[in-house]
Order: sequence, then C-alpha cells, then structure tokens
Amino acid sequence: MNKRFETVVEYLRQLIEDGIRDQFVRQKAVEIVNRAGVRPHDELGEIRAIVKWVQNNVIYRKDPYMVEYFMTARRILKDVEKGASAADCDDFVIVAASMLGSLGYPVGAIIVDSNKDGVFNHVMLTTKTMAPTRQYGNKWIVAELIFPNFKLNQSVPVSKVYPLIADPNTSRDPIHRQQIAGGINSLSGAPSGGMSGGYTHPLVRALNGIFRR
Amino acid sequence: MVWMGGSEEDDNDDGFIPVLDAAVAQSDGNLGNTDMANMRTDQSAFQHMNNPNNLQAHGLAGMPNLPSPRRSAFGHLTNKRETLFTLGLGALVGVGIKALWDFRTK
Repeated sequence: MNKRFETVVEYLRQLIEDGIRDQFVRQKAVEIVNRAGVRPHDELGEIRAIVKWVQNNVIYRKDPYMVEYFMTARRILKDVEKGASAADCDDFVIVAASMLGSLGYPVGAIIVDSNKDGVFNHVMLTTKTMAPTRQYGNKWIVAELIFPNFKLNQSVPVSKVYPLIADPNTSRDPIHRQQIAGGINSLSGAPSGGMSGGYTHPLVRALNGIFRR
Repeated sequence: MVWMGGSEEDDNDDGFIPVLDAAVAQSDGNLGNTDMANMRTDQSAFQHMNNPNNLQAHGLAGMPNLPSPRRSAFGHLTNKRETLFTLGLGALVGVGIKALWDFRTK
C-alpha cells in the first residue's frame, strides 16, 4: 500500500471518528430514524433508514479534477440542508458512518477495487448490529451509498477489500483543528504553517509561543 | 416555477420543461450516460468483508456482540449449573458459619 493511500485513508477514518462525537450529527441521525418511524431496538431498521436517507439526499458529484476533497460530516449535512449537496464516495461514507456511529453502531469504511483489478479506487460503508439479526447474524453489513437503488450488501463486483474501522475513543484533536502539512487545510481554511508543519500538539504550540517571546 | 417559454401556456403542462425530444426523453430519463440499471452487481464486497481471513488480518474477528435475547418465562432458571453451584456454595458457607458458631458457643 503506498504512502499517499495510507494518508488518505487515515483522514477518512479520523473524519468518521470526529463525526461520531459531533452532537449536530447525532441530532440529525436521531431526526432521520424518528421520522422514518423506526421502532426502538430495531437495529436493522435504523441502519436501513440512515443508509436510505444518505442514498436519497446526498448528491453525488465528483471531486475537482486531480484533487481529493474531504468534508466533515457536519459540513455535508449542512450542505444537504442548504440544497447545495455535492459529495463523492468518501464523503458519503463519512456522513453515513458518522450518523450510524453516533447512534451506537460499530462503523467503518471499506476501500474496494470497483474495477476488480486490484487497484483500490472506491469506498463503501460497513457496519454491524450489536445483536445478531435473522438476516445477517453477526456479520458485517456493507452498503453502497452512491447509488440509491442499491440494497444492503449489494455492490459492484470487487476482488478485495480493505476495512478501516473507526475508533472514537481517541484523545487527539478533531481533524478540522489539525494542521495538515503541505498547504492549506481545506477543512478549516486555516493556513498550514509551512511545508514541514504537520500537526502540532497544543502544548507544544504554547511552549513555542513562550520561547518566541 | 419560472416559465421561460411562450406567452401561451399548454393546459397539460405540469411544469416539466423537456430538454430532449419526447421519444428520447421517454426512453432515457438521464441527461448523461449513466445507465445504472445495467450495472452488474453482486455481494462480493460483503463476502470479502466477512471472510474469516480478512477479519483476522484486520483484528475484527473478536468484535463484541450482545448475547441474543433469551425468550424464557419470568423467574425460570436458565443457567441451571451456575445457579446450583451458587446455591450450594451459599449453603456450605452457611453450614460452616453455624458449625463455627456452635463450636465457639456450646
């Protein structure tokens, strides 16, 4: 696996983890499942409601040519509310996984080779119910989000998968507050602080400020 | 709706402004070349994801699950062996304490 791919998937995982802990995202997820009339404890019903909502409301638009865009789950939901939704497969997964994670499900992204040629080029959602279900038992459920007519576990033929399971039990800074090396942080619009910048721990930033004086 | 056609509106108009001629529009609702109906699909992602080797490789084999709900009458002793063991242990402790009490006081 090349370095760029590793970096990209790490951002993806971190954005999902941030979204899971975002109160705005949880409120939206609760609103969706309540409106869909899902009964309490109906785990598969909640998963289906969120997947359907994302499939039907988030609009697929490609990223700019040769540019990889990432958005926070909150930003994607606000774009939908404004009628300005434009997201590609990784954004679909960020928002769906964040909402399902905020409702208490283990979630993650699975990177797949949608051309069945061994080259990872597409992202799908994966999740599972806490209690075994009649349909899927304890298995991980996968969902293709960018096509509204795809049912749970239906996908284009793939030959390999690479799962990235979110772990929200992290003490790191949310990614929109981090500085990403090599340019402008597209999530916050804040300058990155130079090519060799990267993330600086708040304590280190404070010490730097003291020593600079 | 903003009508940008002629001044005389068609009575049957439902607000839809056709972009293509009627025959083409009926045969293909999309403006582009997306033909999702003909896309080949299967469950390969689901199968690969739940492949035991894949789960093992990514440390997902031991993810916690809630036990499936037990459907038994209220008060019914489901874990018989454990319950009997607990009761037996309690009885032994009780008898032991009584024996100790008797030994010290009588």
